[in-house]
Amino acid sequence: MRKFLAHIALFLLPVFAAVTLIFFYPVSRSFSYNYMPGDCENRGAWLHARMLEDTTAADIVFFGSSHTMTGIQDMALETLLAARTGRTYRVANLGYCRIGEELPYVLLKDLLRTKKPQLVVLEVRERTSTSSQPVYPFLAEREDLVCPPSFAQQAYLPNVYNGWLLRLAALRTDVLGAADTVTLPAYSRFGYRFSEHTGDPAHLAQTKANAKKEHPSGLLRDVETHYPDRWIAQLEQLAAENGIQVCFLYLPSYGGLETNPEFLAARPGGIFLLPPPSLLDSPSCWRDPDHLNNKGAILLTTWLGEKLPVKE
Amino acid sequence: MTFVRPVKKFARPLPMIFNSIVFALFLPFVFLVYWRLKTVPRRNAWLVLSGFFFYGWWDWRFLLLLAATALLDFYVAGRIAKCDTRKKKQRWLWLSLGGNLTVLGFFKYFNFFAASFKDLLAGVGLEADFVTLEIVLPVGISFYTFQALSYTLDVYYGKTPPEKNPVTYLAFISFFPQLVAGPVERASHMLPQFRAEKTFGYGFAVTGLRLMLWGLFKKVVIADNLAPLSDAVFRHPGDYSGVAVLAGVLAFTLQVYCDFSGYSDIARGCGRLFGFDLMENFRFPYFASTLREFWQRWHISLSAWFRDYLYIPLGGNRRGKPRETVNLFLTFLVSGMWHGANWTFAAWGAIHGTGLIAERLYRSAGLPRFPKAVSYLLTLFFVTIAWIFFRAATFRDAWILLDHLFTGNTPLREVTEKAWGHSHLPWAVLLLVCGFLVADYLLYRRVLQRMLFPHKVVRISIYYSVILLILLFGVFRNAPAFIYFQF
Repeated sequence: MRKFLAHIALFLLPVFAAVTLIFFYPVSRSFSYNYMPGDCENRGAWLHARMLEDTTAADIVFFGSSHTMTGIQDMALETLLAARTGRTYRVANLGYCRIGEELPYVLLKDLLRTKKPQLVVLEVRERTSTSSQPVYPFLAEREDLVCPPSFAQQAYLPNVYNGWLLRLAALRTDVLGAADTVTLPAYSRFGYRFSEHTGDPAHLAQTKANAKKEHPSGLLRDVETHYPDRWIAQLEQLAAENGIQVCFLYLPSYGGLETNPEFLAARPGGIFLLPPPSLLDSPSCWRDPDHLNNKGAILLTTWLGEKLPVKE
Repeated sequence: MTFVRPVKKFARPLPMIFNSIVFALFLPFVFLVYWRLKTVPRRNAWLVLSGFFFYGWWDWRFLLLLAATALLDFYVAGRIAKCDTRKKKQRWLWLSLGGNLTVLGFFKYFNFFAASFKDLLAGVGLEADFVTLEIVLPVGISFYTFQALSYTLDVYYGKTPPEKNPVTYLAFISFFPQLVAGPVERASHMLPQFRAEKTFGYGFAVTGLRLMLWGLFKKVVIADNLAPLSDAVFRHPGDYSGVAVLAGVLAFTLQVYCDFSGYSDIARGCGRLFGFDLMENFRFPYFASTLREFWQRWHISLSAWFRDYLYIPLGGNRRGKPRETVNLFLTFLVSGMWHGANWTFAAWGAIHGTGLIAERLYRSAGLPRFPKAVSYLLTLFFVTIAWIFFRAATFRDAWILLDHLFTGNTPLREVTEKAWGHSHLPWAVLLLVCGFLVADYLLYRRVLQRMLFPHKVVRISIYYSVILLILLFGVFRNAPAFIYFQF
């Protein structure tokens, strides 16, 4: 048995070496953003175009989930801020479907290759999400995958594995020829996702009724949210190193505005943008319990136009 | 009324599959602990735990079903052995058959028969509103049910004594390498192995690893790379014709072989790591020169099961030619239905049954035999056409494909671009397939075994080459599940 194990180990040494070498295969950012499996509506290709190809500045960037995508009208916000401050601010809605606190850090890192924002607005929900963003391993750099700011995440090994798959795919593409890349039908630098649809009021009311009013605090909260908190801290550190201000925008599901986010207590020094509950109380502002429609986005954007902490 | 599909927190979309990271971590751990344990009872208990963990990885709630059906048969077999009259034995046997087949029938066929009956009534102008249930098909139920049934049947026929130790019996039923997709093992073959003292066999384990490597290659390199082409054609049957349809059908012919035989190889190889010899399930079926030979080489464990427990009890070939014909047809019809709740599977079984009957009649009529090469090509052609019904979602799709196969001609590039995009992958896949077919033929003729394997350097080089091909061409992301998981 010992001989068997020793021989297997010896035999597998070159295999492990090859597997490890693949992990060091260089991957272009373009490939990463185009390759992302489960990409929603070619958003990956758009993010790459806006952040790394489009030379237009991004003075104020919004990071978050689909709540951000459907809630912030970046074009309208530019107009509102210009009217309020007399200055030109380029706004970029860089929200991406699904949630996970690693992604804003990865995106900010990429954004800093070509642009330097003045303000980063990070979406916050009722509760800090503890899940790993599914596309994070395909965009993260190797060191971030292998040595994240916290290992308290059950997706750690799957993330490393997916990062390895990305590099394997890049190697194969170079050997076998380019796979199809995404062609954006008509590029626009604005990332807002428009929706006119109005959700079912009964369903919305049910969501509101079910919304939890209390959040865990103390040690339980700290344990649960150690992983995302470390990533947010990492983003704040990167922003501070580059002289970028960070603030947090509360974008919960319908009815969630009536309760402060648990994040508020965890970050006593943070700058919070808390829309008043009455602002988005009407069901006609919501596409579904989680996403604002156009009417809701207009209301929220107008409110942000007055409240965003920018230089006047 | 709904049988709710497992919610996300209880179930994963797939069971623990052999070509996954989690299995790569699971197997060495189970292996090391197994050989550290010194006694047979402890090893069997560990195998039961491992098997339950392996199965429960998909959905722990269905462990109860697995355990319940296994223990039912364990109890029933014990009672059968104690009965002194045939009639009493038969009553217990019916309990086992009824229990197992009811569970299998409910999970697998309830909605199918409800919908079919509804369509039948609609066909004669009657409307009916049947309740259909959102039933989850427990992974592997067809396999472990048949394996458990073979145990009670063998005890009934006196072919094997009942197992006295429930842990040993559970280890036999829940043995993870073959739990979810076979081979469908026999108690007379496996139970003695679970009772025997084992010492670790270096050579035996190495052959196991070799089988696993080859099985993995067949699955992730050949089968999974061909899947996009067969999917492109079978999902949109009306879009392609001529050589494009032929490419899709041939792709599926090879895909299903490599997928299923690959799984079986990995299962057998895995079994060998623990000192178990699982039965061979595929013996180069596409080199068969007759349908009869094909079925002696394809899914051998299931074919043998149906032969021993359906065809022979029906009378086999002992009650005259007409009855033999009916028995053969029924056996293959049921075999087709076993594969899934869809009339296309029944049609596939019926086609093979009809083909076998025609072959027997041709032989018994003393008509001239075809040259071997022609016979081989005819068999391959027949099997390939039958696969259309196996893979197509509906009868309509199957007929469209058959029609389009012989009419029209979509350029091959159109379907390959749909399958693999604009890259050199089609050429790579073609080369891989050709290489595989050559290798498989050389294995079939035992050329590789005789000439290359005895030389250590050549052997090791082959292993590394296969691993390199797996790394370069294996499908790891969004890999299709093993085809037979759906059965």
